[in-house]
Amino acid sequence: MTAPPRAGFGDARLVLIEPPAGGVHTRLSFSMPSDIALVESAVELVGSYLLADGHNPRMVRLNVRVSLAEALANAILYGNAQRSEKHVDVVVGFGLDHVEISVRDRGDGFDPESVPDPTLPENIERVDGRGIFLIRRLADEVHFEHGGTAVRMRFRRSPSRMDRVLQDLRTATGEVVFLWRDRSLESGPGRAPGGEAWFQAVSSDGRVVLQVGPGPASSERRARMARAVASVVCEALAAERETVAATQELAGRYEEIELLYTISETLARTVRLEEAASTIVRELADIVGARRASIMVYDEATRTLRVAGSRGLEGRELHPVAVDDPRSVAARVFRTQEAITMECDPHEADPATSAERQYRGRSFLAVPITVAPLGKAPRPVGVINLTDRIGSDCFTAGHRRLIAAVANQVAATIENSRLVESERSRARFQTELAVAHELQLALMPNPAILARSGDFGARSQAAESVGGDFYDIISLRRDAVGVCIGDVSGHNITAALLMAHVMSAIGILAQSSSSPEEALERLLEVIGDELRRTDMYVSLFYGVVDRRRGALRYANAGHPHAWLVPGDGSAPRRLGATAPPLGLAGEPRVLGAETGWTARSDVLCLFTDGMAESANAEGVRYSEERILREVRRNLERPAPAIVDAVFEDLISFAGTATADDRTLLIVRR
Amino acid sequence: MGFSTRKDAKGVLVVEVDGQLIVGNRQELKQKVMDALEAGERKFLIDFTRTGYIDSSGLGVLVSLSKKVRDEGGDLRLAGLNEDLKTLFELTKLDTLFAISDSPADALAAF
Repeated sequence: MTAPPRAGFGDARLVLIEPPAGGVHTRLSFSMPSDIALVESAVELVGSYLLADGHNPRMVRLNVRVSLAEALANAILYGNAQRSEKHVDVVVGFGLDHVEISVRDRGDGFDPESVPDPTLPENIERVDGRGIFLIRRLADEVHFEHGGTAVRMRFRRSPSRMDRVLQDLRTATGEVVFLWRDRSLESGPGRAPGGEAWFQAVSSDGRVVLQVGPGPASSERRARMARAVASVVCEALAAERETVAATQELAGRYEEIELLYTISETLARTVRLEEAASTIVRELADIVGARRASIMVYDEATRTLRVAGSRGLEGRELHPVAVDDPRSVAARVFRTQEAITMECDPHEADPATSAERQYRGRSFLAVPITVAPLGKAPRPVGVINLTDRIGSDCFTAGHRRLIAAVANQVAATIENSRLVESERSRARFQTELAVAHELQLALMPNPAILARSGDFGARSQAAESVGGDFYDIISLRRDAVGVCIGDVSGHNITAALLMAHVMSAIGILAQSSSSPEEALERLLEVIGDELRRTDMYVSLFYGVVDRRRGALRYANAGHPHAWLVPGDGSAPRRLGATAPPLGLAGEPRVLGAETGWTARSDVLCLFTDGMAESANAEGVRYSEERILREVRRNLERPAPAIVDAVFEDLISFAGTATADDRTLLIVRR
Repeated sequence: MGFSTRKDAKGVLVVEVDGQLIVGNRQELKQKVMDALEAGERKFLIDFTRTGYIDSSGLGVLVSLSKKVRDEGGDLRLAGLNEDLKTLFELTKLDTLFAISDSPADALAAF
């Protein structure tokens, strides 16, 4: 008899007893520590052998299960007082028509007669005391031995068809009739307890043998009976085997369907695979009997497979695996998108496995998880690995199909998860940009208001929804006007916030500083931390037009395009940098510069990189020269008209699409 | 595996036992019901539709809970027991102690 043992009772021993003693032909024995959590596994182990031996499933599920579980619980909780070093010994004797189970603990024993009957009215409400009662009711015979430290329970085999056939034979012939399963005996006469008997091989492999005798018939007659009956017995056996197999098959199918439902539900409840992965791995591993299992998911950024959920894996086994790793079976499955199942020969050295990969050369099944969106090529997104199968069999084709079905469900979840996440970040991004855009719009000076205090023209065209350029015009004391233009590196919300900060600060600092350079130095003090923290920089020109003094005083932190275009038509004068861009070079001194200014005639022309760098289809830059030329050409016109003229020319040259923000500021005062 | 609770339209606290009720997890069930009892719940239904196995200590905790609920003037019912579990209750004569219904729906209607 070879049933697949489950659970970790490594020392469980199965021995044949020849000749059978007391009708017991095979004995299973094992010893377990006093750990209540192991009761379930022990009961399952014994149960699986009983089912394999053809016992009635209900008898196994109810009578044996409850009795054995109660006996073990008593032995652990009361006999051994849960001292885990004290073991509980279990011996199961398999007989033809019965099974006997003994459970022994290492405790001091007790008097089973002292346990009151829990069904008596006065005891019905007692919380304890039902264990022994149940054992007595469910087992056919119960004996307490060794001072109450051991209990021996006997369960008669429920009559099966085979049993009835044999019983009829016994009655009809008056001979003893036994059916030996899993014996090797040659057909012929032999000795049996009590006298002579005839042994007839029933199955083709000779492992099932019919014993007829001892009894009243002659040896010759016995032989004739045995031969005549052997074919009937053979058929009955085959039918019995088929029923058992069909039941097990059915149970297996139900389990698999249950698994798929469970996984489907689990995945439907969550969008993130990680939450579901542990549950799925556990269910999968249980159903195919794998001790170690994992679900690995592909991380595109690092080109590795990382473990999303696992069971039975430790330490290095949980590390991510590079998809190019030639030694990893999982990586190979991922690359080829084909399942691999390894043979179970522990001595075979396969180049794909190695000691470092910690595959012990045992059964292994790896199945790719592939996403196949409609109309697109299939894309691998992960791998399901199962290894170290309990028992000696390999994973079957049936297992592979089942795991592939699960892999499809997991693939759908991974894909969903990815789509939801990318949708979320897109939505988040849109919101952030929208906020930043609103902020910028609110901060920009209103040209209509500006127009009241002078001849100002300004236009700013942002390259993306959020721009980096800014400008401002500030009324100062004594009829002076401050003009600034600047550029923050970047086009994201951080840049927008920095720009807002600069604009609000410069407005205040301009009013309270005695010179442009002082304003810029103080501005750097205010935003210095933010610049360092965000690794950003700001180029900024700030000039004060003082028409009473007839002077333009300015400080220029790295802004490249600041010009004074004289009203008398002479050559434009570049207002060069007096300091590096803020944030690029620590805390430099900001120097100031000054130049003459003719009121109502001279024009301050400030623009940003985007204007000069705009290129046409041939790649020719618009350039500073062209901007200044346009300005000079339109010098007689009001500032706003000059701005419009320049933009018109720019757009006809390079189009409206622009890679960088375009800002132009024209001031005449 | 585990216990899940929900409140029924009639104010009955339904506890679903998923898997087993055994020595290892009976405390959890006891805690759940006792906490609810303390919070004022008085109507309880333990639903065993998804339960495969109850051991003697599980039976014990049901007896204990039944008493405690009764002491507080409440009502505890059981439902959804499969054939094997019904047999256990009959063997131990606990079928006379509890109000047992075949289905949760029947039990809820009886509250």
